[in-house]
Amino acid sequence: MMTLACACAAVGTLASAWTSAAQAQGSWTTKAPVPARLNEVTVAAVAGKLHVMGGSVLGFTGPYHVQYDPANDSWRTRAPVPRSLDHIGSVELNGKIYLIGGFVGGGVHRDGQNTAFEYDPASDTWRILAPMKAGRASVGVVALDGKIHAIGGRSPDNNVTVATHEVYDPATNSWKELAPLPKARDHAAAGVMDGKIYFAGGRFGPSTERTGMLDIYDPKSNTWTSGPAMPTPRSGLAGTVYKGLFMVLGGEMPPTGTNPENEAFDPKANAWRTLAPMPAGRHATAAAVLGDSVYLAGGSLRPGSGQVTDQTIVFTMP
Amino acid sequence: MRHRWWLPVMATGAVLVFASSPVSLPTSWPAWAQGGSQGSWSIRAPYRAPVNEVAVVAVGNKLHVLGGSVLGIAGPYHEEYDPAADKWSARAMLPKGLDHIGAAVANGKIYVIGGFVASVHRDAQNAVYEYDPASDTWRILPGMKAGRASVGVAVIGGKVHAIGGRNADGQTVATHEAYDPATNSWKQLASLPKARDHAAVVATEGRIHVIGGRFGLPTDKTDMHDVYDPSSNTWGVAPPMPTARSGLAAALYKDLVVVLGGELPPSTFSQNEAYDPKTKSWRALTPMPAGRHGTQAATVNGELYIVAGSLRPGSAGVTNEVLVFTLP
Repeated sequence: MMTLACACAAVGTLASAWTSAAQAQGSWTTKAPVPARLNEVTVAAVAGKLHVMGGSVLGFTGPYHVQYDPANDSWRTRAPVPRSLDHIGSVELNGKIYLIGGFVGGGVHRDGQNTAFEYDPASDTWRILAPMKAGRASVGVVALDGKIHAIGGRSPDNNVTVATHEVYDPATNSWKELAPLPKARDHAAAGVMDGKIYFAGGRFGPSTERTGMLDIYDPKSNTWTSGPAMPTPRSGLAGTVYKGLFMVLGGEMPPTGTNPENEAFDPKANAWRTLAPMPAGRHATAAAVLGDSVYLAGGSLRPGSGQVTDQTIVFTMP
Repeated sequence: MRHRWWLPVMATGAVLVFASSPVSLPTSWPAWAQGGSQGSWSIRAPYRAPVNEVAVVAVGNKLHVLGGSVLGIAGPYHEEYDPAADKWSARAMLPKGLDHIGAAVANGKIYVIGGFVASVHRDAQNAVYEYDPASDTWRILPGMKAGRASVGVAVIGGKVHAIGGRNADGQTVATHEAYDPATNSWKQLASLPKARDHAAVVATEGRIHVIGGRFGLPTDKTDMHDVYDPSSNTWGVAPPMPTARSGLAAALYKDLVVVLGGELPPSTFSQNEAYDPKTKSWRALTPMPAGRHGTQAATVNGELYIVAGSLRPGSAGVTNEVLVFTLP
């Protein structure tokens, strides 16, 4: 793996160059790479381990499921996802991982599915849940008050983005429709802070139609309001909540660029902050908090399916 | 990604020592490590993912690596390697995700036969596909009479022979069928003397050699060497392989039937042995830098390639290494 060795060396060089800025903005390290280069994955953390699920390897969308153990910096395969899907949305809730929607592969953004799966790490088994009312993929998925929200995405009908907002209740295994997004989009980032859902960026149609919109959902009133726009409009970005901040990382900017940007919305200041950028721009990956750090695994360093990577990068802030 | 460094193999081929260490592979073996008349090994651009239980064939001066398992998922992976550029490119995917496929080339087309849908040895298929490298397209052909995988495939007289394998119930079979591209149909032929799979199957000088394999479990390995004569539709016996093993790779190289690697839990074989049909005898060649199984071999541009596979038994130590063997 000469290519990988070179990439790691480049990462190392960049990392040392950032040390001066690392105090306030955090810093990046790399961990053992995923055992294959894969993109359009979803990432979730549960029971002290990171799970990377679905996505595409060598251009094939498969039911990939690998688990990273930070204790020994190693990967292992786990029970495959019940279906071969990419662009899945996922979240952890009560010790289980929920996977929502996804495209079937065999092309770009094909045939968004209404599937919902639940993974139990204790038994390494999957359960098929009640489906959403219609297929969609690249959907924003978060957990709030014991329920799973699935927001926006892309429909299989003419491949258009949707504003749909449904919520899944694990207690009743059923879905309910809630207030739709103010504007239909997908490839966005979503997170929950202080009882509210934050939904940032994304695209309205083609990947060039990117936005910096920030929408905030209040479950008490079932309404959306607008927040300050993300400084760098982008789509195909990763999002997670870390140390009281809604972090949005990466994204794609065809025809040649990907975003290294790492920006965070601070709800207390009602403002965005710039954090240490990723070692290189990427998209088609997702982020999850494991221990005291934010992990991203796999993805593409170039737009579309360009330069698929196996990198595992880790962000830590004091 | 596994990075391995191995100490060079002695010219006798008797000793092999390697140790794991996170350093890059050498681009070629130092001259003093080369095996002289027993051949030498070098390394090429790795396959683009660690993959095991793949099929490997050569057509049109290119290598095609088909199916197999990545991250434990049997997929329709298909990558082409250009030896001139030392470069891999994605090609049209197989019609179905399969591992343990048998594959061979006839009239400039690749025939892909049987395969399992998942690990380990699950649900053998009777699927048969034809790949045309000129158009980068696949065609679905009539299936075999029943599902099997880890089947030995060789071409003789323009017909594609599918020999032995493991059925959907997990049992090895002695079945021998041949596909005729001219009539697009299958015909049943004389069965293997003893049912087995994970064998090496190579055609040369008008005969098909079936070497090694296993009768059931990986520990049930054999050194048997059966030879099929299509003119009489009969099987004969040839000198057994020196090192009994299964899950081995094979290719015709410089008129020798070269058989490489294999598994024997808890380890794998690095053996590289060659049968010379002219002298009806076996000779030991320079072993591989490390034992492996779950792969196949093919000859292109006067070099023998073995691609990816597993460095340890079962699905352990899956690798993306591409090794090249040359004899002077």
